[in-house]
Amino acid sequence: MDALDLARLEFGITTSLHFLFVALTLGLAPLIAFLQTLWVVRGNPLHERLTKFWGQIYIVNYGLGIVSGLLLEFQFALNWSGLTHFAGELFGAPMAMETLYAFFVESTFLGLWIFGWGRLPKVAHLLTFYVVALAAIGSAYLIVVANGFLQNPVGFERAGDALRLVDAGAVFANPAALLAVGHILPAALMVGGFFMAGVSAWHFRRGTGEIAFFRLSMRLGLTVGYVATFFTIGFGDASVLWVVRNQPTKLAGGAEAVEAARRMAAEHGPGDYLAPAWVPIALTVMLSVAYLYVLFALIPIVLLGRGRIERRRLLLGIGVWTIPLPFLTVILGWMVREVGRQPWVIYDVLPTSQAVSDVGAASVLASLVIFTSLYVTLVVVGYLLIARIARRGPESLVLGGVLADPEPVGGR
Amino acid sequence: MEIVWLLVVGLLLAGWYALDGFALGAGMFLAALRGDARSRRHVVAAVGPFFLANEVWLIAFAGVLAVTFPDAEAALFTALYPVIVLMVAAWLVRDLGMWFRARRPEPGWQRWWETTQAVASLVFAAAAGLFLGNAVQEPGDGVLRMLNPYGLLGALTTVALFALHGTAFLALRTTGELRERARRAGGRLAPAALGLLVLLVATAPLASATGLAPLALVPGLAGPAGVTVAWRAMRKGRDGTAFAGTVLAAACLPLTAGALMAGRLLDGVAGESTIDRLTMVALPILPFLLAAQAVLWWVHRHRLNDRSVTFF
Repeated sequence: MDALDLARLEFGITTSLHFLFVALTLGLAPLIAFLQTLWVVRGNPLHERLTKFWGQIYIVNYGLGIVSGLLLEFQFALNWSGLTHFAGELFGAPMAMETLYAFFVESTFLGLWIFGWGRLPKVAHLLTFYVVALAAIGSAYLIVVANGFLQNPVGFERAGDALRLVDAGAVFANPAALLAVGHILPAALMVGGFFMAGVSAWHFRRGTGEIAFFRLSMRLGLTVGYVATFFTIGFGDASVLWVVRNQPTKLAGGAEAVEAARRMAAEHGPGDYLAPAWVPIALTVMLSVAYLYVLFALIPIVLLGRGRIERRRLLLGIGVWTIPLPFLTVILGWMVREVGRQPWVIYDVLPTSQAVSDVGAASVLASLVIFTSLYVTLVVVGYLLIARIARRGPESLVLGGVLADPEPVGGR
Repeated sequence: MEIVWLLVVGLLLAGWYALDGFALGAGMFLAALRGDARSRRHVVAAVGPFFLANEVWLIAFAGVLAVTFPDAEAALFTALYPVIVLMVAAWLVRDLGMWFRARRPEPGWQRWWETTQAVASLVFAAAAGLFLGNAVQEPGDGVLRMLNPYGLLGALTTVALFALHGTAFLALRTTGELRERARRAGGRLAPAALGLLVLLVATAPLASATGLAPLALVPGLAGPAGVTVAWRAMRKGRDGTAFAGTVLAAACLPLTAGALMAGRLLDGVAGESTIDRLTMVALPILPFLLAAQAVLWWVHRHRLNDRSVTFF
């Protein structure tokens, strides 16, 4: 493998694993904001416990999201300096805005939220979480604007060996970005909602006794996850239609794809311009999972009333074992989107081979090995710990703990 | 406008040195607290509220540098590829240590992640210093060239300065025996940090690719002055003054390097339209960001006590 293949592999591995955490963070944030609002408005201690329990899962997950995202910021400069040079104004600017506007704000306010329990007034404390949740959505939007430009370059003109922005409005209202945001946000809610419902199902199955606590979690998770499924499918279908029309080599297949590939070969020189054959298959798998949820998630929803679902062990088991399914599906989604656009880094404008940095394959290989092993540790240990917090339930709340308490997560 | 953005980039990096510098120093201090689990927990609790808000400065620096000085950044990062990989890897490991430590109760588990955090903090600081030490020189290729005397001096100075900064922070934020230990350690570290910093500044004109920049004299002199102030204040037990001194010294390190490199950075500046647009959309947020961080500091301005919120 040469530096290009290695750099692509490194980017694929790191973004996919990073997105596991991003999806859950995005999906849980509105649910937690809702629970904390309930607590502030009604003053019911159950809602405070719910906020803290789901909040501590959220925070650990968010932290691992940051850790896995650090490298991405540096990877563009390390491995893809051709892209920053060529399209810094169009691709780099939304990325820089993301770090300043969304990420900086999100991290600072999350720090205020975590360490503000019992210190900040209740309403101010709630508002810090609203800022966190809004910044998370803003972050997702800006990242997808940057990615959307790579999928569907708009609003630019060529100036020498670089691109110049001529229409900022077009970049920020890029259909490739807006459709993706519409698809990704509900997909993240699916991940978060069905995660919440799955964890609740585990507790009912084990009979851990927190009936009221997990009844509310299950209701909230299932309802939000189910409703979000329809939006995910709606925007997903719209995206597919758009892709077939605008990125013919990605999914279209048949005569159109061949025709587009021939035109690209004529304009940009010979090369393999058709997406790998497995991309449409991955798309089909993704769609099938979504429709499975539409069909079968209705069963637990019907049984939600009067706690009938809480005794059905098989159903609860399915709820637990399908927690990973939305996670795997969102990764498939990114693979379709990102691998499908190859060999272009900017579709029909800049080939990936021209975006890669002028570094030796040995350097990239070393960084690939180092970071992949770190990421595997991070994901495996991280999810074991998140599962541990989820299993221990609300009896051992760490969030809001003080120094006088015994060492957090004590015992058992 | 380029000058403004050069300043912003410089201030973001200086902010990272001043803020995450003490978190890294406190991380290294964990290694000095073998056999004292309670104190180690207090060190982590002291840093906790600021941890997330500190490290975002370096991410913001990288993000803004990439857009405003894309060619300078690409040249720098490609030439110093191994140093950046080392730095980011150490950063990931340091953060993992922080996030994982308190998630299980077993003493062995916690000791393991504390050790990991201490070692990774040291490597992270050293890599950041190695980066600056190499960046002011003519960029060259090859891993061994990066281990040149000036690069290594930069690494050593950064480690010593961050360690001192960490002890000053802990002396300010904790009470009792831990505070005393931090102060004593700081008193011993200060002369070493001062000597290294003076040596680094004095040899800068020899190493710098652009020779001497008069502007570099300001942070170049202010840095050692900050360490001196901190040293005296530590002996007298004036924790606030000592911390202010190490904040100044830590911030001056990248500013000195930045002043030496300013000419080269400006050569790799982005096009005028990029700069103008970014000025319109990104500059107005900066006061708000600073205000949010100030609120965080205000909420946690007290010394640690039994009611201090912990999470890590």
